Amino acid sequence: MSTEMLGLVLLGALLTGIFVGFPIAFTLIILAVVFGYIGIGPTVFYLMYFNTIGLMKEEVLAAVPLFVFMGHMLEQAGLMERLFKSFQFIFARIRGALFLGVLLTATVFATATGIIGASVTVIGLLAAPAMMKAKYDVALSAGVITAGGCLGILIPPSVMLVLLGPVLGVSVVQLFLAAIIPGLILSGLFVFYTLTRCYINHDLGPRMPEEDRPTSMMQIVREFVSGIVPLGVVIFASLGSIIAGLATPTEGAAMAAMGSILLTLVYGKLNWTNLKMTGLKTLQTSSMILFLAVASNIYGAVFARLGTASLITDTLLSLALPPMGMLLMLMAVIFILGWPLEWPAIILIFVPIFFPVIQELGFDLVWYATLVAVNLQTAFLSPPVAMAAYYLKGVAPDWPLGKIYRGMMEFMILQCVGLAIILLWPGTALWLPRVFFGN
Amino acid sequence: MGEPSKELEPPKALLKIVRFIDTYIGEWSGRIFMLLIFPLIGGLTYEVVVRYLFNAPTIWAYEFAYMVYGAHFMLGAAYCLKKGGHIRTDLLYDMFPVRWQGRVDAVLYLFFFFPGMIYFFAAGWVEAFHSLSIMEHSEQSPWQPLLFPFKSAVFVGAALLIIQGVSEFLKSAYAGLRGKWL
Amino acid sequence: QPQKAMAKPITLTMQATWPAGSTLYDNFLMYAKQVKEMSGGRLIIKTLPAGAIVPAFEVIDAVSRGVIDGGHAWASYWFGKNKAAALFTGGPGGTFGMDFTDYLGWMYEGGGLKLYTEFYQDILKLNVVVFPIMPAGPQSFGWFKKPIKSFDDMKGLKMRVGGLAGIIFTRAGVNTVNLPGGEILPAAERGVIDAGEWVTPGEDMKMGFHEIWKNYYLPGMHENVTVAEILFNKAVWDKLPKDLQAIARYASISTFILWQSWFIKYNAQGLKDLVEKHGVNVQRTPDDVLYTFLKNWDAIAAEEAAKNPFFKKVFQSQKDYAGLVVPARMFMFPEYKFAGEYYWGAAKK
Ligand code: NA
Ligand code: NA
Repeated sequence: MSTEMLGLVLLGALLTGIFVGFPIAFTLIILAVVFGYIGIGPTVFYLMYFNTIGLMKEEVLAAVPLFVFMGHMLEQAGLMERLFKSFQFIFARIRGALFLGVLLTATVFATATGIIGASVTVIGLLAAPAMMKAKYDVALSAGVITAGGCLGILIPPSVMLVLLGPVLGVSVVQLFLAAIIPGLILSGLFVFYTLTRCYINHDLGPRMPEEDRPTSMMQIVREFVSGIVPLGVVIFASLGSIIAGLATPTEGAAMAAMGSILLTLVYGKLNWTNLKMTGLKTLQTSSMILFLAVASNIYGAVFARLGTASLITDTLLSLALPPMGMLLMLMAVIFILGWPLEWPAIILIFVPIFFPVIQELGFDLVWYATLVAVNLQTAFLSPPVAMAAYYLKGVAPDWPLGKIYRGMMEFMILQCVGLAIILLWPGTALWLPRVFFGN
Repeated sequence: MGEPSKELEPPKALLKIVRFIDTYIGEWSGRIFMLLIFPLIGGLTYEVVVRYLFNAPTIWAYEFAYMVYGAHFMLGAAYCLKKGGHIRTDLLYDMFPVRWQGRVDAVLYLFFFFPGMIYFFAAGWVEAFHSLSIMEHSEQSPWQPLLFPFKSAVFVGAALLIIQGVSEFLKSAYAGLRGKWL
Repeated sequence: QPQKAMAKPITLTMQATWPAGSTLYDNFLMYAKQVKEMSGGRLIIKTLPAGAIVPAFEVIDAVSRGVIDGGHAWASYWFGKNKAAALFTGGPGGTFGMDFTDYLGWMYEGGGLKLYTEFYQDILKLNVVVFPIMPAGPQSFGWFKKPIKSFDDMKGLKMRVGGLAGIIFTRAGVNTVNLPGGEILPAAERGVIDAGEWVTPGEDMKMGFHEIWKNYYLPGMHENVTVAEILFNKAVWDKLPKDLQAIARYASISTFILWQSWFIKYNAQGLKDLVEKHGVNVQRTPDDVLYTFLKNWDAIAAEEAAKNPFFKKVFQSQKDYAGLVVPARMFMFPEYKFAGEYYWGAAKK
């Protein structure tokens, strides 16, 4: 068997292996090691090491434990309850009030983070307990949290766009600008879809019980001030300093973590037990996320080393298609690759392989990059290897993975609608860059 | 099926080993390494403060950040394992009876977990000591710290995972044989 | 011979330290193409971009361990292992005033390649074979938010500078940070840095620096001669038939020379477009900035030579070669400026 075919078997083995139910990180590693050993020999062990140390050197990923810490710390401060009480109060008369709250928070939070893990984790920590308490539909709740949290990777600042810029030889600043409107379009689609469904089926996001509704305007104002404003200050401290250029995303995340400690102090809840609990939870959550990232990097590297990646691409390019047909085809391929593979693997391995084709066909690269980014964002929502699901499961262990998957699938379809909009109206991506840079 | 239900005490030696590992490797590695988050928060906040208040950025903050973050999650992997935190697809698994959950886990620990982790440990060990043998320093900033301590986190993390894995394997094997979790 | 043509080609999987879209990657492709043509398809180099198999900064270790058969890299990426690495890229100032031709001369006529090989195999204990392959300079001094008139204007700036140059600039009193390529522009836009250097006019334009900063200074002394390398795993190399080894070696030299000519044209076009299309304020770097840089480099190199015997050995070898060739070329060769000024300079009638 050729090594390329071996890679295809590896892909199949992964899907089987994952469903057996062993921790996915270890499944990825052992499959990579076994197939890598058959295909390329004992050097696969070093391949494993180099990918691990490489990920450990990714300074920007240091923002993951920091944002996780912020979420857990604010949870210890009891801020989550206040925040969601506020949202319950403010939107209480609307069906699906918490959904709306999550999506609005997620959209705002997306401007504070460039990393998907942190967004889903923090938003999951904020929202999942409140949704469980309010007897919200689990699948729709999970969909809203994961889809909302994934906006963080698209709406700038975005680690994905920072990586994508150099790969396509496009200015990252232009990519940031290009992603803003598509991000807002997606957010709008999510809100519209969720509220419509709640309106049709009242059980999905029940109205708040009478006793939970505000009795006066003053009450709403008080809830707002005590519940939302403090978190706003912390997020503003991190986002504000990142956007204003005072800090890198990692530094901004550290300041957010520091802000969360100070806030806990102000609320009178800061003590060693709380700090220890926060520290331990942060360690567990970030080890889970980042160790899995290590594992998928190793898996992706073996897949590339076996040459299967190139085999798939060569086959594609041998097809004769009109430009728009080829673009749609590449989008479909990236979408399909997003199921088993993580986005860094796709950006680093497949996007460069498609690059000559896109150049040849003369498509605008900023537009193409935006399409790729939105497309890859759907990969986070595509089970079974869907990081967003794992991040959420990490913070909401009571929700069955099956329901999380189902909710995500619905929003994955909405993502595809968003992708179609950007495909049909390139102006959605290109207008802002043109305003700032001309042409 | 159809077995007489006899309440057997778990073997003392087994309990002892499992408890020892769970406490001194799983739990304590977590309690120690979770502390790394605090210098990470403090160091980076300090960097931003001195940069803007005193116009005196540190030369170490950038590399300090990734080294602490990298060590943090790598050394915390064993704690995460002990807590059952490594994500798994529980669609089918949750439907298995305990005895089968234990059997599946025991077999998979033996064939999926240990081989990968042992090689992970070996590669990490060889590379860390190669780095030490040439006194390798970092090249990413003028600070240039020695890389050995950072690179050691890989084999130390893998070693902790292997030891914690022994406990997990024993617990699974017990569940596979006796039909209940230890 | 039909039998020979039927023989199964040898395929080497090699990875670059740069992304596929980058110009530097094109050099890798150029090399692969030459090797394939020269060998009549018997030796195929399968090129992969940074990160495809291992992260960029792990490439040399991965080649040494045989994870990949070879790599396309830059020696200064490994200078954390030993500072002598920087000298093999043709270090700051040339070194000692050498240009790319002198550098190639030092490599093949002055014992440089032998030292390069000894450095990787014996000093760093890496199982690799190396050849210089890509001149990637002379690199520009950099982009600035505000104009600089003398070295004093550099103090208090926060500047993105890569590798060894960062240490030299820091010593000279500039606040430096080393950001990966993709992070420079966002950092610049957010004001995290006030200045930055990347590569050359063509490459800098591709990155989009002109969209944020308008003051562009050339030349620099930090990487005026800088050369990237092609690496092979030694066991893989030793197994190649002698004729394929020769092809792989000579193709690195023909790539080097063809690339240099192309790169000059590419950057000339880039410089023209930056001025004419993007309204960039292109200026010559003030002499005192360049001298300050060279003096700080001399001091650092002297300190390093005092404690690092291999650094000293390489440094001395470069000095001996440059001492013979550079003064002679300054005398033998008509000044580049001479006929240039006559045809294109301000003095042209
Ligand atoms: Na974002
Ligand atoms: Na996926």
